[in-house]
Parts: sequence; C-alpha cells; structure tokens
Amino acid sequence: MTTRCMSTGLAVLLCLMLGVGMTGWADLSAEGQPLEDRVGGFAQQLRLAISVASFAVYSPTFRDLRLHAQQLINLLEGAEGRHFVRSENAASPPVGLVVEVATWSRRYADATMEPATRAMLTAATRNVRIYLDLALDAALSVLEQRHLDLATMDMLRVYAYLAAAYERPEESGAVLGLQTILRAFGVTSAEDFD
Amino acid sequence: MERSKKNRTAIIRRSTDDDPLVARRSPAYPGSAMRRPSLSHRAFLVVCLAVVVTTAGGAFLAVREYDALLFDAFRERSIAYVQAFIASTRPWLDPVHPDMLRAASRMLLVGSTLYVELLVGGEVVVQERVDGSIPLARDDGDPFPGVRAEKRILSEDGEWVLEVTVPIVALSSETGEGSGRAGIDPTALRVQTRNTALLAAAATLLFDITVLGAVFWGMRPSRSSITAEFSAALRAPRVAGPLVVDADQKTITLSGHPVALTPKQFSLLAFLAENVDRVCSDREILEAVWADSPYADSKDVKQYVYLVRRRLATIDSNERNRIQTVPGFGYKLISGAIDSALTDE
Repeated sequence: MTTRCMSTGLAVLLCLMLGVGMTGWADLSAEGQPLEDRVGGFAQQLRLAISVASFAVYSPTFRDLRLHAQQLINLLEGAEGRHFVRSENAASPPVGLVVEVATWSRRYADATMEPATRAMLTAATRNVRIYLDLALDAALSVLEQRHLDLATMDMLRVYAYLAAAYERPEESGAVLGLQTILRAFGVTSAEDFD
Repeated sequence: MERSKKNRTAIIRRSTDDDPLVARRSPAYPGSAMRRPSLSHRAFLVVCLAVVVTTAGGAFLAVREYDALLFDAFRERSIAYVQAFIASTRPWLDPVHPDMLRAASRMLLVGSTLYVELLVGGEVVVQERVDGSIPLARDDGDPFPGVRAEKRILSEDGEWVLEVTVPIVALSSETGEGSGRAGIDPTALRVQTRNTALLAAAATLLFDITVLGAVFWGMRPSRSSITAEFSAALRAPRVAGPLVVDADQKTITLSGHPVALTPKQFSLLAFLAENVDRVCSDREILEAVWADSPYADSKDVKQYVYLVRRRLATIDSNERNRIQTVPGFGYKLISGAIDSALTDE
C-alpha cells in the first residue's frame, strides 16, 4: 500500500511537472516551482521584453512608442505594479520581472550550494535587478516625453538596460547577468526552456 | 440768371486756368477739396488677387511637399519597424517557437499595426490581426516576395494601409526561407497632414489680411496731405465771374481792377465767395461775419450788401447784381451770367 501511494504521488508530481513544462508561458506566481524553472521562465519573459524594446525603437508613430513603453512597464512591474495598465490585446504576466528577481536572493539563502556559487549568483542577481530598475525608469521616461525623438532615445536606453541584464553569451562576462544564472542552473539559454 | 436746378455744390476754380486741380465741395464743408487715391480700385483688386493667389499657391506647394516628407519618414520608420520585429524574433524562428512568436506578434499589434504574418519554410507560423482589419488571405495569389517590399493596400472602407514585407534570411537549410509582413495604419499620418494643412491655411489667411491691410492703409491719402490740400484749397482765391476774392492776400479784383472795401465789407464778400452760387441766409452771414457782435441783425446784413454792391458798381455797373437777393432765403454770389431780375435794386 505504501508503495502504491508513493507511486501515485510520484506520478501526480510528474504530471504536474509535465503540465508546467508544456505551457509556453511559465507561471512565475507558483511559489512551489523549482528555481531553475522560474529562472527559465524569467529568461523567456526578459527575452520577450528585449524583443518589444528593439522594435519599439522604430515605432512609426509617437503613440505606438508610448504603447510599447506601457507594455514593457507591464512586463517589468507585473499586474500588481503601480504603473500597470491592463491591456486587452496581450496577456500580461502575473508577476513582473522586477518583482520576480527580488525573490531570488532569499531562495539562494535557502538552497544548498557552494558559497562561491551562492556569491556569484547573488552578484549576478543584483546586477540583473539594477539593470531592470534602470530599464523601468527609462520606460517611465518614455511616457513623460512629448516628442518622438526624445522618446526614442529613452526607448534605446530601455533596450540597452534589458540587453545588459540578459548578458548575451557573446558579450564579456565581466559584469555578471542572467546568462551566468542560467548556466549555473544548467539552462544555457532561454530557448532551452520550452 | 435762370435758377439752377442742380444741387448746391459749386465748382471752385483757381485764378489760373491751367491749374489741373478741380475740386468739388459739399454743402456741409464749403471749400473742401479732396484728392482721389493714387491707385484705382481696379488696381487694388488686381493686387489683392495677386497676393491671394501667390500665397495660396505657395502654401499649397509647401503643404504638399511637407506631406511628402511626412509620408517618406512614416514609410521609412514603418519598414524599419517591421525589420526590427523580424530581427528580434529570429531566435524563435529557427527552430520555430510558436508560443513566443505569437506573444511577440501580439505585442506588435498595438497602435498602428493592423496585422502581422510570419511565413517560414512555406508555412504560416503566425497570423495575427486586429479585429476588423484587412483580411490576410487575398485572392490575387500574390506570393511573398523574396525581397523587401512595401505597397499600399486599400481596405474595405476605402482607406489605404501600408503593407511592409521583409524577407527572413540566413535560416538553416532545414528551416528554409521565410518572410514576414505587417500592415501599418497611416491614420496618425493623415491626421498630422490635415492639421498641417489647416495651420498653413490659417497662416496664409492671416498673412494675406496683414499684407492687404497694409496696402490698403498705404493707399489712403495721409492726413498731412489732406490738410495741405485742404488748406491750399482754402487759400486759393475764389472766383465768381470776373470777380476774384483772395482771402489770403486780402485783395479783391473785378475784371482785373482792385476793389477797395472795408474789413467788414471784405469779410462779407469773402464769405459769399466761399459759397459761390449757394444761397446764404442772414443767420449764416451773421455767424460768419458778425460772430463777435451779438447785437447785429438782418438790417446790418442788408446794409453791408448794399454797400458792397455800390462799390462793385463803381467799376462795372452790371456787377452791382453779382450779389443776388433771394427773397425769403438770403443772398447769393453768382458766378455765371447776372440776372438783374433777382436784385432788389
């Protein structure tokens, strides 16, 4: 009987894991989710934000640029954010990137890992958080601008900070970022998590 | 002289016949003289038409040129917009990640973008559009071009949409070629164009009003010129037949012979000469000649008229009747032929 219960529980656990893995959008709000899964989902979300920022720079109208800036604010702050605006067009993540990355440091303290690894992850997470805060400030500046040229410059800053937070593999690892965290958890890139 | 049936205006002529100035005066302002504006009304209308046509034409050309620049800028940004979208989604194109592509496409469908479609390896991987926009499936069988292209597509409501198609290059051999296209709504551009046209029209109208107002103001004779002409007209000797009264020089000549009058007699004759061929009442004469004598009356007027007539008669007996009595109305200095029947002597 005990064996049967254990088998049943394991099967349920596996189904839950598969169910989470099959969704295209990782649910960052699930507290019980493993950190590596959350990191992978975070990377997907950040990659999406970078994509939005990259084409937002070339928005054909000033209104489009402002709308993309609001999309990025929604991605960064999440549904509970102060500047969040609900959009009927796109699904907004329940937890924003800035909010999510703030919870990782607590998880590092609870996880079992080498002190050097913990220090590296803490530094990388801090950098990612700083870059995301800067990107959020830049996105809010876009909404305050009254001219397309000035708003475009702010959007370029958003893209630059988001790209810096992502830490692309071909870039120097002197300033640790998300790629360092992904490698530490065995997820080498956002596309590996699907 | 036959009583004139014309109005009471008279022609004041200078002593020299070759003076081109011919002035008319109104009964209210005896002796006034006005010169016409230097430009005729027709010339002013021509100037107005020229200014309006020139400024309107210039504004039209300027707005059209500005609209062309606006559209070029809009087109360039739209092309770069779609290219940046394709480039940013490349990591999810090879291999294809439909969920991420769909999420990124929905992010694109805000504001001006009406639809987006991604084609990879001959298959449509993403097809998203805003409700009510142009249907993505077309019957013309136009395949995706292999190079970047943009064109105008007419929507069902008659407005055009800018469609941009961008090839996706350097995909793996397993994935194959691809391209993406998006439809951009130029409504914001149309609004900006309309606002520019309205602003140009308002500026042109304001400019025309200012310029034409300045031209019209410049055409008016100046106060100093009016005053100078008026004063010159006032100082000009008054002529009534052979009688010439020069109020400036204080001389009276009759057929070239000087006529000696007392100051009061001179003032009387000068006033009548200012109102040649117009009947002056006793009251008018008293107000003009005896302004400082409150006790003067019609008898004084009658007496001085008699004295002036007698003095004129000493030179030419016929000129006694130059001042005619109009019974019941007053006296009149005539410029034409003398009618002896209208005197009381």
